[in-house]
Amino acid sequence: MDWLRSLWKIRFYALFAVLVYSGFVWAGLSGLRLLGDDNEAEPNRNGTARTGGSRGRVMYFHK
Amino acid sequence: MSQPAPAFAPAAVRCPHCGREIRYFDVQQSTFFGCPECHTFFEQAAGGASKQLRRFKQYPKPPRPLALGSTGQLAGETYRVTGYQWRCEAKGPDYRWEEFQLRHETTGASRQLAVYQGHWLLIEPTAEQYKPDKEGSITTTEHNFQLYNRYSPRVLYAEGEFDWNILADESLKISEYIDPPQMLVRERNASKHDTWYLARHLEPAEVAEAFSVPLTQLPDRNGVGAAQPAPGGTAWPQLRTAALLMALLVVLTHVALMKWGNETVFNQEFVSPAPAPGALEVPERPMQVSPSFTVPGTGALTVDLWASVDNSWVEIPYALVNEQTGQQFAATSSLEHYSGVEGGESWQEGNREAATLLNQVPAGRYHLNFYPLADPVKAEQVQFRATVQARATAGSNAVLALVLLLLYPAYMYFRRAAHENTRWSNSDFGP
Repeated sequence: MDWLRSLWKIRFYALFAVLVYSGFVWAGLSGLRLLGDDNEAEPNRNGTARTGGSRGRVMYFHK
Repeated sequence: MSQPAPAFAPAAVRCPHCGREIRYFDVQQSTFFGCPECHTFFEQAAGGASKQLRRFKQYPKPPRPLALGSTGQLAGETYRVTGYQWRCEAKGPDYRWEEFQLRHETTGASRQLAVYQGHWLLIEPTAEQYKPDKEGSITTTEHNFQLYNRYSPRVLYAEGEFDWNILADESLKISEYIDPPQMLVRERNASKHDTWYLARHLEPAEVAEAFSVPLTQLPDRNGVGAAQPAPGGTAWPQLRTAALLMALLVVLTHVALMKWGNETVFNQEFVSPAPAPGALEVPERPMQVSPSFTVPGTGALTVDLWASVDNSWVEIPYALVNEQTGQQFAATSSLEHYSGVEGGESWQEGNREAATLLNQVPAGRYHLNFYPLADPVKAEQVQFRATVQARATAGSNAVLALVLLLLYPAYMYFRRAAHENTRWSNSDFGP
C-alpha cells in the first residue's frame, strides 16, 4: 500500500506508462502494427497494385 | 556583497594588532576572534589579556556569499552568521572551501554552513556515535554511508567570533561518509576521541532564500557536490521498479497475444514449372492462384513463404485478395540461397524463408495471387510453400512499447550514473 502511495512521486510517468501499455494491448488485439507495414498495395479502382520489389527486380505486377 | 555586522551586536573586543573594534554576539562563549582589517586571529578570554595566535597571509577576495551578522531561516529556525573561515586540505591546498559559523538566535546552538564549488552543506553536531566497518561504510536503519573523503584541514583565513580555537582543528583527522543528500563527518583528535556531525546538502536556492540574498551572489556551482542528490532524487527507486514491472508486463502480454493469435488459416505448397526449352530467358514465371481460405477476424496476418532454391533466387510478389470486397494487400518476398566450398571451407548465404506482415486485414474470404520471378539462367521448376497465420502478433509493437516505457528511466539511469561518476571522481575512495 505504501509502495502504491509512493507512486505519486512518479505520477506523470505512471500515467504515461498506462497509456503506452493500453495502446500496446489495443494494437495487439486489433491487429495493428505500430511500426510500419509490409503491405505495398495502393488501393485503386481497377484493382491494380504496385509493389516496390525489394531487390529492384520487380517494379509492378498485374492482377 | 559583504554587509557590515549590524550595530546592535552587544559586545566588542579590540584587535591586539591594529586596534580595530570587532563587535560580536555571543558574549558568553566567544573567546576567539578574526580581525577583518589586519587579518589577525587572536584569543580574548573574558577579563584576560588578548593573545595573537596567527596573522593570515591570504584571504578570499570579496564579495562573501553571506555577510557576517546577517540572519537566515533554516528549517524554520533563525540563525545568525557569526564567523567565517576559509579552509583547505593539508595535503590538497587546491581543495578550498568556505565555512560560515551559524548561531541559533535563541538557543545559541552552533551550526556550520560549508560551501565548496557552489555546493552547500548544513552541518550540525550529533550525539550519536557511529562505527564504520572495514570497507568504510556506516550502516544505520535508514542509511548506508560510504567513506568519501579523509583529510586534515588547514585554516587559510578566518574572521568573526568563535567559541573554540579553530587553529587547533588543524590537528584533526576528518572523515566524511556520504549517503546523499546526507553526510556524516567524523572529527578525530590526537587522542583518538571522535566527534560526529550530520550534514545535509542544501540547494543554492534554499540558501539564497534563507538568507534573503540574490542567487547570483552565491558562488556558481561546479561539478557534483559530495552529498548532492543524483537526478531523479527520491523518486528513482519507484521509477526503476515501475519501469521494470511495466516492461515485464509488456513481455508477458506479448507472449499471451502470441498464444492467443497466430492461427494458421492457410498452408499449401506450389510448384512454378520450368520454362519451356527455347523460351526467352526472362525471370517472369506464370501466375499462381491459391484456393480460398477464411480469415476469422480482423487483425494482422503473417504470410510466410519458403522456396526450394539452391544457388539461385526467387522473388515472389503476391497479392492477398478479399473475394467479397476486392480489397487487396500486396507484398514481396525475396528468397535466395547460395552455398559452396572455397579454400577447403564450405560457406552459405541467403535465406530460403521470409515472412511478411499485413496490417489490419478484415475478416472474410481471401485468396493469394503469386507472381513468381526466378533466376533466368536456371531453367528449372521452383517449389514454394505459403503459410498464412491470422491474428498475427507484431513483435515490433512490443519493441516499441518497451522503448517508450524504458526511454525515460534509461535516460535517468545514465544521468544518475554520470552524476555518481563525477561525484566519486573527486574522491580517493570509491564504491
